[in-house]
Amino acid sequence: MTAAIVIGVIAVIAVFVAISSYNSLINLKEQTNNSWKQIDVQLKRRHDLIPNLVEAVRGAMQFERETLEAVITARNKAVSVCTGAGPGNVAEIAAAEGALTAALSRFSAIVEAYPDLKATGNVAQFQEELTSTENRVGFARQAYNDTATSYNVAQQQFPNVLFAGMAKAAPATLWEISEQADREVPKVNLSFK
Amino acid sequence: MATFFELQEKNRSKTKWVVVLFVAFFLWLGLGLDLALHYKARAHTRPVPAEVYRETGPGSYQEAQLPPGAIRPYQKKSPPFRPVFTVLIGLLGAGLAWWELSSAATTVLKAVRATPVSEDTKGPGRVFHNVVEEMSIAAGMPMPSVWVIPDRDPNAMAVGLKPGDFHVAATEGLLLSLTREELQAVVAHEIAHIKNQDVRLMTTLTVLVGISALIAEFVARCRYHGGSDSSGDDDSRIGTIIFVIWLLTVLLAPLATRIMALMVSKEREYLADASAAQFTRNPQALISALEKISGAAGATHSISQASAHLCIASPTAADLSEEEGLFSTHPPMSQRIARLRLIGRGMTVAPSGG
Repeated sequence: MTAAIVIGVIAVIAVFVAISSYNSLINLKEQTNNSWKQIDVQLKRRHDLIPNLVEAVRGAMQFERETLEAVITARNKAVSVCTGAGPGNVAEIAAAEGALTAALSRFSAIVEAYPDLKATGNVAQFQEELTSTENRVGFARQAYNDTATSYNVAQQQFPNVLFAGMAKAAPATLWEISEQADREVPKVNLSFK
Repeated sequence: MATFFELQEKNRSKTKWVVVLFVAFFLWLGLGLDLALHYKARAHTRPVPAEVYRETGPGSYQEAQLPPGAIRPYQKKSPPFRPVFTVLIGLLGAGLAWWELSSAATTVLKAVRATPVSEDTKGPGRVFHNVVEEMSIAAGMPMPSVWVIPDRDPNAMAVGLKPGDFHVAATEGLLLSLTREELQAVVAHEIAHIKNQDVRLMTTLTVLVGISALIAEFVARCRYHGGSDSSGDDDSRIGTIIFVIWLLTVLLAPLATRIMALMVSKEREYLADASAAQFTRNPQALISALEKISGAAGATHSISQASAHLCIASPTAADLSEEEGLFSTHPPMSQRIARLRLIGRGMTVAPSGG
């Protein structure tokens, strides 16, 4: 009789632990998906901004045609990679967006180098928009990485590890910053005029 | 993991204990009085002397002649314990807190004459709006509405109790004196206040401080009869002891609750600083922003002391000093900066954004 009661109590506790463990995994999975969507929103915003930006400076930047072309090419590539992509394609998207970031930072450095160009009202405004957009993408990525990390850690912890299969929890890929693209030093064309 | 997560955890549990203490203290305000009255009443539950009974009769012996809460003297059974005041004070507290919390956040903003910044503004307002949006993304929060306060002293505040009703405001002085990164750090601090539910917590604590002051005022004005009890039995003595302790705590309550609320406020400032470092991954920017703000040293005249706990730095000039003041809402700047340096050293994550 006593044994039956003990077994019963243990069974109840086990069921309770299983439910809360399952729920916490589902919860974290949902959060990870949500923060992925936030990245998506910010990337779309960035892709939409770039054509306007290029239009605004095209006249003043005839001499930097190459840089502008690089930005446009990188943007179009990123758009095509992002279309219909999910958290599964993190690596591809990260590579395409990294290339776009590099092209944009070269572009920014060039604008900085020409005070005349910077003084144009439109350009100064677009530069602020560009800075903000880059920051938004960066912070959305940071939020995604933080959530995905806690999701990944939770999957490996006991007792969650026992229920990871049931919750269909798989490790989320982090968005690594491609070091190479970020390290490239922007080249400024000094033969202006 | 980086140190700031541990720091945040420590901060959170500390605050939890102060809040528990606060609630326990408040319960005692009602329960102590109930217990004192209960024991007094038990001491009084003995038959009235025959001559009194004959003169007045059973119906006309009014409660008014007895200490409050006492039971009619011809009652013989020990009265049941009724926690009347516990419930009353609890209801009063909950009611006032609810009323305070449900009043619109925008009244505070109207009081400081803040003007809203729309999404399509140009110039410094545009940068401010962008920075708020960036930080709400970093914090995973809905976008708050953005306000500018016409004041030349650098300061910022957060208001808001529920999603859809979050507001971040900065003074003109702040927007002019800080760099973009510093502004980001300050906005992150304010968003952290909203995310950590400090606005709700501090508003509730402020209401509780107000209620305890109200009760103390009321008790101090009442004359207590019945301290000298002819019936010197145990129940009466216990009642007197509880009552004296209760009276002391009530009279000290306004001071004690205020100090407790300020302790919570200081902890929440540290927590918001740590969260700001987490969101921006750039504690250095917050350090230099705090240095600039404390360097300005003036008082933010447009923000009243009542909203001080919602600001990045205390709006009162005296509170910007380096000493740990018992009655200041914010920890001293040097302490906040020292803790941020500690976070900066422990940070293992590469800075992003900015």
